[in-house]
Amino acid sequence: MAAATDDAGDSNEMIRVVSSDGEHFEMPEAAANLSLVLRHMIEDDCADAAGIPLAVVAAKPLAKIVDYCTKHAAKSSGLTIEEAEELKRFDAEFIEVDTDMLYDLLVAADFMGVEGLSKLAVQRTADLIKGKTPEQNRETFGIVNDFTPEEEEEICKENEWAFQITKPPSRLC
Amino acid sequence: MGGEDGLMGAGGDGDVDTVGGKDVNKVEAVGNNNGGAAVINGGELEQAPILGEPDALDLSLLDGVEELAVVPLRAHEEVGYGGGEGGGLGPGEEGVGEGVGGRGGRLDLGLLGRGGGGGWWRKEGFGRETVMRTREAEEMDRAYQCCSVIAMGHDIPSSFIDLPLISLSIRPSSMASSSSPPVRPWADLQHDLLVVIMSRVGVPDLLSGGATRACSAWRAAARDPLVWRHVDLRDWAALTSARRRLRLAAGDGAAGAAGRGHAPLQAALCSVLEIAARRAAGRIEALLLPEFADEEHLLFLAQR
Repeated sequence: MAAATDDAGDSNEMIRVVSSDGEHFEMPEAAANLSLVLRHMIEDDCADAAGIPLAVVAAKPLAKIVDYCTKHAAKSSGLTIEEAEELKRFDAEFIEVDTDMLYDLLVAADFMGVEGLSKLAVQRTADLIKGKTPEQNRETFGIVNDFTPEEEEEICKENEWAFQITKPPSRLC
Repeated sequence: MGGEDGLMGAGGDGDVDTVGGKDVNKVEAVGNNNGGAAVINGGELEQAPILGEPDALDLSLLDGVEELAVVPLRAHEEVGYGGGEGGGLGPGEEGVGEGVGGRGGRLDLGLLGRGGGGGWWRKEGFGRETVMRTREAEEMDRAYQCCSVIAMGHDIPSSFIDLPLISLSIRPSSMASSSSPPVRPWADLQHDLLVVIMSRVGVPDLLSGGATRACSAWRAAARDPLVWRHVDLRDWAALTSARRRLRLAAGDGAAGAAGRGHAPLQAALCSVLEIAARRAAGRIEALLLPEFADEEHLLFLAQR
């Protein structure tokens, strides 16, 4: 778990963070630095033995995020092709989670400012949305159809794209 | 022993799938999802990991098939098949052979179908090499229950069934790894995050409405001008298939009329460009066009 101290900079100090539900985690400073929020806290000397409290990140996603940052910090610069491939594989496996965890990761990575993870979670979400019908998306993401009848009608009108060069549709939704 | 009862009780929600380019009633494909669980038409087998790879299905065989089932033909390991609801392979059944090692085992599957220019037919040896390998011997029983019926049937002649077909239950979830319905408030995700997600979804899916018609928050995000700053239309095939999906969903009988009208490709591109320009509130910063686009389209867009 140790960071590659030779190229990860000045310090191999461990940074403690505390989840919203009170669990403590540790990661190398280089890993914590991948989070904008944590980096600022460290720079402002807010990282003490008690740990940095992360009020909106629960233990389960935080454990994943610590994993992610530790892995990526250890392989931050001067990647060989093999290492880059390995990191890609790690990412692909890392983001194979259910939609609940995906949601937690999205929100937490955004809150903590972990750019790489944000991108990864966003892409995964987009990939899950692609190719599905509205009903399938509602099922996958546990969404309720909340359109008013007026909105439904408006949506119908928007479908002109599909019909533009054929006849006007009689029934759309 | 299961037999036709098993068949009757099996099957998904009656979705119509396409096999070999033809619409087939109630035929579902067998596949392997990432988790190792078999997937049937996007659903997931409830019980156990099993089965063959999708490419083990010989699609040419399935042309015009109306009904299809996968039947276990013989097992390659002697395990406690007697138990379990619906019975199992009889121990005296031909082909029950030696064990294949301490762990796991193998079932040969047969493919049973009806239609395609004849009555019922059966093909043996389907997926022979790729048939399930479960970890523990006791899982065989569960796996066996899963690998029987893939599609609903009605009046399969009993002479075709030398082993019982047992129904399987299909979980209507498309998520491989989640067993319970998602509980996170995806509709309430911050607008900014939704916008970023929608811009990764891509124009074809934005236009087909899969994302935009899920709920009002998603729709609002998908219509945010930021989503339309970068418009990538290079994958024209995806766009046209999205368009077709939308038409089909709308129940429009003129779906086949896509090719009518003069220069339909050009017209279609223009209509997409027009929508994109409108959604982007006139501020498209990057535009990637399909190969067939020409300067007329750029002119068209410039006028918007």
